[in-house]
Amino acid sequence: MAGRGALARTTLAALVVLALVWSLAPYLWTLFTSFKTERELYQFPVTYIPKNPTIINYVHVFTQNPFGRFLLNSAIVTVLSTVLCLFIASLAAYAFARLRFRGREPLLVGLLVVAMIPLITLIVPLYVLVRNLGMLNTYWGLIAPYVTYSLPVAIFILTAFFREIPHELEEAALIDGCTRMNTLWRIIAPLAAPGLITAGIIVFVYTWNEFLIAMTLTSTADVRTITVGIALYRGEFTFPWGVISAAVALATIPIMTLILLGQRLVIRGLTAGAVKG
Amino acid sequence: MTGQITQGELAAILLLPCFAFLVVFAIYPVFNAIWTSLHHLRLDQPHLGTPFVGLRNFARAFGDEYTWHSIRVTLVYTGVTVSAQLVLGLGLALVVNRLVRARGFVRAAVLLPWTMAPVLAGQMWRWLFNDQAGVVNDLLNRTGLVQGQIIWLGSPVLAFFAVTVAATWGAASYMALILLAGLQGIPDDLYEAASLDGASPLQAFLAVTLPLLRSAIMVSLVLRTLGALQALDLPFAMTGGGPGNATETFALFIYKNTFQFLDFGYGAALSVILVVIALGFAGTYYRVLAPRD
Repeated sequence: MAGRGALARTTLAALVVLALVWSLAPYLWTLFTSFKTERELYQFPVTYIPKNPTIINYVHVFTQNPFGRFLLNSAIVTVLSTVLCLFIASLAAYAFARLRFRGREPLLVGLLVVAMIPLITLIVPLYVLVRNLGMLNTYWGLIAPYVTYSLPVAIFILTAFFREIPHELEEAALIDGCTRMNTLWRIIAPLAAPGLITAGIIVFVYTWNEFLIAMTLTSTADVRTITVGIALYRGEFTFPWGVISAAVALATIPIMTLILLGQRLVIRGLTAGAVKG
Repeated sequence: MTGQITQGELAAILLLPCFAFLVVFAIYPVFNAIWTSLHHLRLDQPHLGTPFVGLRNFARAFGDEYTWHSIRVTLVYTGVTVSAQLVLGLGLALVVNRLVRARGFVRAAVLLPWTMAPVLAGQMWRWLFNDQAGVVNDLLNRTGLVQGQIIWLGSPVLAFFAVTVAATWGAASYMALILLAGLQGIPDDLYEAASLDGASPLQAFLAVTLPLLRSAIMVSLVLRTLGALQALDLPFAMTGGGPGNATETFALFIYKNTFQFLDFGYGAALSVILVVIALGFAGTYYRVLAPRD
């Protein structure tokens, strides 16, 4: 039996190593690339750890290109979208989780159907709409659709979390003369903090990483987000893999930090919306 | 108390902002797309106006060999990537679930690919598969499996393979997370009972794990299938649909018709077809996999 336990442990360790290599190696390769000189980039057989590490690519990211501006744009758009989406979604989720009203089920099904519509179907009408509203190439022109397309998933997650909060607390507050709106802000919201953080992270990741809308609705560097900035970046002579790698590494850092802080919650949130009530 | 309102009225107030956004930015655009699909609308031919053409855009779509080609690419892409993601994701989830030590670290590492934007992952994998100085060729040469440099993104079959690898990398991570949450919901006593009954680990996996993971598998399959059916960012960044149109997914084909050829009516008809395909898949999954009461 002892031999079998050791074998099982070794197998598990080997599988863990495989899982780590598969998940991390491509990103590590990008990081290594970002510290290489132009000459070292094109050596074959390749070098892994940079021989003459340089930060020139990172300097170029910020000095020769507007990537700093792109990162700032992404941050502004993503933070505003996430906050606005959470606010609107928590109102709706409270109604779905706690109130009895006609049309509740059809509205939930409607949300599900909206969530399934491919973005490519919406993009042209959206472009025309945003143009007619005079919001083309503005932050708000991006924020409004981002809020909208994140609403279904945020509502599903928050509804699931709100349902778990014991009714008794709320009833006690209602009996003590609290209005429903007050119970929402005083009782439910603090208890639902993990749900809000979960939904917030998922909306944040979606918005930060979004490409098609940002590509279509922006046209200048002062509004363009980082995904579009990197995707459209072409060098003058050779394809600038060093600078691209540095930009990719930088663009991924905010999301990774966020995920590391809230990973337990994210895992729960990914399925929370799926639990049938 | 004059300020008392009914639950129904309160619900209406609370839902108003949400549905205002949805109606303006999601529901109206869908109907607009359907309307556009029934009209001739080319931005490069404004003198023609937007005459009603009935189903002519759809007839053209079904008669266009490139439509069928890109639908085929999308279906194969979806089939290959989603199955690979499910198998790998399940494997990753089982490994993380077994861990006691370093669990948080490994889980964070497994999460990482999901956090990267598909369009950035596409750029990254394009560099990994680079024929001149890519790490994939380097590893194949070092291990002696291959001599010389394979031009991955220059041949239709290899490019398609490379794109599916990149897509699997990002989304297997997402699958793993959903399945991991499902695994954590399975009580340990069930495994103890199974092992007392003399079940082997494989039997326990088939009799306990898989049935109880049914809804997590269902959720992850639906989400990933809907994602794969509209894949655009990753092939856009990695191959631009090439070489030729070997990796041109349906969504990318729609994108090109719309924004490069400025044929909005035709693009809208194609995108309505994509909606039907997506809803068809979702409905089928639901019928096959939904728990029966």
